[in-house]
Amino acid sequence: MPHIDVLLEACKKKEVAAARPRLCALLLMYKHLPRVGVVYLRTSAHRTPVQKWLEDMPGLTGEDKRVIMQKLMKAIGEAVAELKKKVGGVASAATLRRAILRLLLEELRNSA
Amino acid sequence: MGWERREAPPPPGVYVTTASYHSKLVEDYCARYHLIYLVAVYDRDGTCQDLYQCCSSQPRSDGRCFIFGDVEWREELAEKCRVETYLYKFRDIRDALKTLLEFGMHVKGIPCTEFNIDVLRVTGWCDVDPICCDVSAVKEKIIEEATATYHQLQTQHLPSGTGDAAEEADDGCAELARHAAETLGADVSRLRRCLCRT
Repeated sequence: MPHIDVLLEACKKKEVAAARPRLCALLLMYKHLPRVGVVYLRTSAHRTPVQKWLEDMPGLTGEDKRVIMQKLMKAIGEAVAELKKKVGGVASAATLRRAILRLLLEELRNSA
Repeated sequence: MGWERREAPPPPGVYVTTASYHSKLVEDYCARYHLIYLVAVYDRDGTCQDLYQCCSSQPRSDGRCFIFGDVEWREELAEKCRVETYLYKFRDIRDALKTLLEFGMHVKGIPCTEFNIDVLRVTGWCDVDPICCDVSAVKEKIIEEATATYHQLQTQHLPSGTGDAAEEADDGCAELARHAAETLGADVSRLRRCLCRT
């Protein structure tokens, strides 16, 4: 989905990451899903990809990164809880991909 | 006249979704369910009698038969999966694509972004829900709003710098230090030096 990269680029601005943690969290979750196989829904599985993504963000102080990390992980935790209700604790990557996309589209429609 | 059912794989045609194929997932799926394909046959002049045959005789690039299915059909699936194909004739190409699009989105719950962009455009879905086709406007709006909110918060958190406010803050701190000193029996001035650093 080309939308993902366009929007992730916006999330690289610290203002956006701080103001729209749910949107950025969902984008990161989608981006780091494996293409095939079964996925266990766990918040902690997203910590390292988010940390790596934050490392590449330009012009952020250590404190900025800490604050954004905290917000993103909170948003990921909430999204994981929502997804678990919808698809269960274990789901195929394809099912999860669609479920995250639906949440993302909902989030974007609220912004439009 | 309803949809024509065939216990056969889909004929050649254009898939309306970004069809993916993972053999392991398909095997698991086929162990439990049938593979189902919907084929919308575009027949403008009504000359097509046998819909299946019409699709099979056309070259793929003709764009006469449009297919919706969970996975792209491959020969190897014939051994593993039971398959059903439903065909329907449409006089209008827009109606044909719209039927498949709406089935996919509303019945199967597939997000609009998984459909081919051309299908979304032809059916007019880009006007109904622009986010499905282009997010650049939303992206700009998100950046604008976030930047405004950020600057607003920054302004609110800046200290006012007026003497009165500083004094007030200092008085509050001194009062608190005095209470703590009384309770703990500590040296007030030392405690104040520790706690009331600006």
